[in-house]
Amino acid sequence: MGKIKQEGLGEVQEMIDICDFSVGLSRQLYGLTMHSERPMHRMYEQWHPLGIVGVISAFNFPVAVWSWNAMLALACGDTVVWKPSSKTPLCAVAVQNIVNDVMADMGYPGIMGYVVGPGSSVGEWFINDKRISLISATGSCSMGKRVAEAASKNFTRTILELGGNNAIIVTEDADLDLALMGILFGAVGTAGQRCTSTRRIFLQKAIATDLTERLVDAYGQVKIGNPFDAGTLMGPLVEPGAVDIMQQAIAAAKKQGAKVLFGGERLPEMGETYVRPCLIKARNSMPIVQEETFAPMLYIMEYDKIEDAFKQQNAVPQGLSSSMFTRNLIYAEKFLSAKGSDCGIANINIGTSGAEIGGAFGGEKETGGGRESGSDAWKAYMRRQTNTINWSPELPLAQGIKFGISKGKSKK
Amino acid sequence: MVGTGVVSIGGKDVSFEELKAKILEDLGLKAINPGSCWGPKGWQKGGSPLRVYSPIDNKVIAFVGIASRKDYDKVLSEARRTFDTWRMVPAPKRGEVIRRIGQALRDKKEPLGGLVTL
Repeated sequence: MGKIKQEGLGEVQEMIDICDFSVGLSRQLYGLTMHSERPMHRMYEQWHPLGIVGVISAFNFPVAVWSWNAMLALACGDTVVWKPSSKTPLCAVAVQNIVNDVMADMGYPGIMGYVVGPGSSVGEWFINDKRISLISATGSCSMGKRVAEAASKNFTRTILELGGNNAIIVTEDADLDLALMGILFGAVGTAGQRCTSTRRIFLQKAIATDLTERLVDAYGQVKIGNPFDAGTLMGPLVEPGAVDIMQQAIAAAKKQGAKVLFGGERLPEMGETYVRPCLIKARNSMPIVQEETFAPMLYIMEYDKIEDAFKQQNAVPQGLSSSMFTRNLIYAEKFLSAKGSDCGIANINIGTSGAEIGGAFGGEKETGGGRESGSDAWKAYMRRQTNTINWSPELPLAQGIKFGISKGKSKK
Repeated sequence: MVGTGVVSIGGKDVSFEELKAKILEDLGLKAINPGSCWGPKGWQKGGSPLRVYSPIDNKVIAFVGIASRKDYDKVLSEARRTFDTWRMVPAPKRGEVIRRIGQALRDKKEPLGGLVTL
C-alpha cells in the first residue's frame, strides 16, 4: 500500500508482538470471584469463547489490525473470518498461507479464514450474518455507521475503530526539537494515512512563528519516492483517487480562508500517486478542518490560553488520539484529566501515532468507541458468565425476599 | 517515474520488477489468487478476479478472486463448525498455536513487510 519499508517491517513486528501478548493472555483469561450475600454460596464469573469473530480491516494497516483482533480472538477460543480491504487483499492471502501451515501442523484446521469482495456484496453479507458473534471493523466513520446499523439488527457485538482528527498541542515551554520530530512523524509518516496521523496542531503564540518556520524547513527536506528505498521518508498515497481527494480538500481549505504554507501539489514526474506533504494555516472551526482527509495535510492553528487549546482540540466529531508537548506538569496533568482530552489516546511529549500493542487501542465519539489490542480489550471477544453455587441445605433468596410455600414432608 | 529504475536494498541495486516477483514468490502468491479460504484444504478460487495495484507504480501486482455467496457460506459454516471444537481446547493450548503463528511470522517478516510496502 506504499508505506515505507521500515513501517512495513514495523507492521509485521506488531503482529509478532501481539502474538507474544496473546500467548501470555491464554493463561490469564481471569475472572473475579465475589462474596455472596447469602450464606454458603459462592459467586464467581468466568469468560467463555464467543463464536466467530469477523474482522474488517482497512488498507492502511493491511496486516497488523487483523492480528490485533485475530490473535486475541484465537486465545479467547473464537474462530476468525477476515474481510480485508479490496485494496490490499494479497496480504490476507499471504497471511492465510502462513497460518495454514501452522493449523495443518497442529491439527486445528479452520480456525481462521478470509473472504475477499466489495463492501456492497461480501461486506453486506458479513455485517448482516447472524453466525458472526462480533464484528471488529476498521475504516471510515460512514462505513462504521453502516456496520453498527446492520449489526444492531441482530444484536451482533461490534468493535468500531473509525476516523480520527488527531491534534498535537505545543506549549511555549515545550522542547521544540522533540515537538518538531513528533509532528513530522505524526503528519508525514505513512503519508498521513494512519487513523492516528496528526491532522491538526495548536501552537502557543510565543513559539508559533518559530515552530512553523522550522516545520516548513523540515517538510522541504522530506524525501519522497519509492518506499523501498532506504532514504525515502514518504511514499505514494494508496491510489490516484486519494490524491484527487487531497487536492479537493486543499481547494476547499483555501476557499474557506486557509493559507497553504508549504506543498500540497501533485508530483506527476514521479507518478499519479505522489504528492508533496502540505502545511496549511487554518482555523479549527473551518468545515474542512472538522473532517478527516486521509492524506498528508496538516492544519496549523495558534492559541493564547491553554484552556482555549484544550477546547479546540476537543471541538471535532472524532476522538481517537491526541497529544501535548510541554514541560509544564500542571498543563500535562490537566490535559490527561477528565476535563482534558476527550480522546481514547492522550499522550505527553510523544506524537499521536505509533501506539504499542500493550495498551487498548481505539477512540470515542465518531471514532466508534471500540477497543482492540492490549490491556483488557480481550474481554470483548468473550462472553462473561456469572455463576452462583449454593452448597447450603437452604434456598435463601437475594435481597432477603421471602417467597415460598410451607414445606411438605418428604414422602421418603 | 518511480518504480521504473532500480531500488537499493541493503546496498544492492535490484530492479523493482525483480523485487516484486521475489516478494510474491516468498509468500506463495500467484498471478491469480483465491478469493476465499477456510483452512489448509479450504482454498476457493472465486469469480471475476479483482485487480490489485501497487501505488508505487500504479500497476497491477496480481489478481485475487471475489468470493461468491456459496464460497462465503462455506467459509462461515466451517468457522462455525471449527468453533465447536476450538472452544473446548484449553486456552494455554490455544496459546501454543499462537506461539507457532508468531514464529512463522518471524520467519516471513522480511517478505511480508515487503508486501505491505508494495
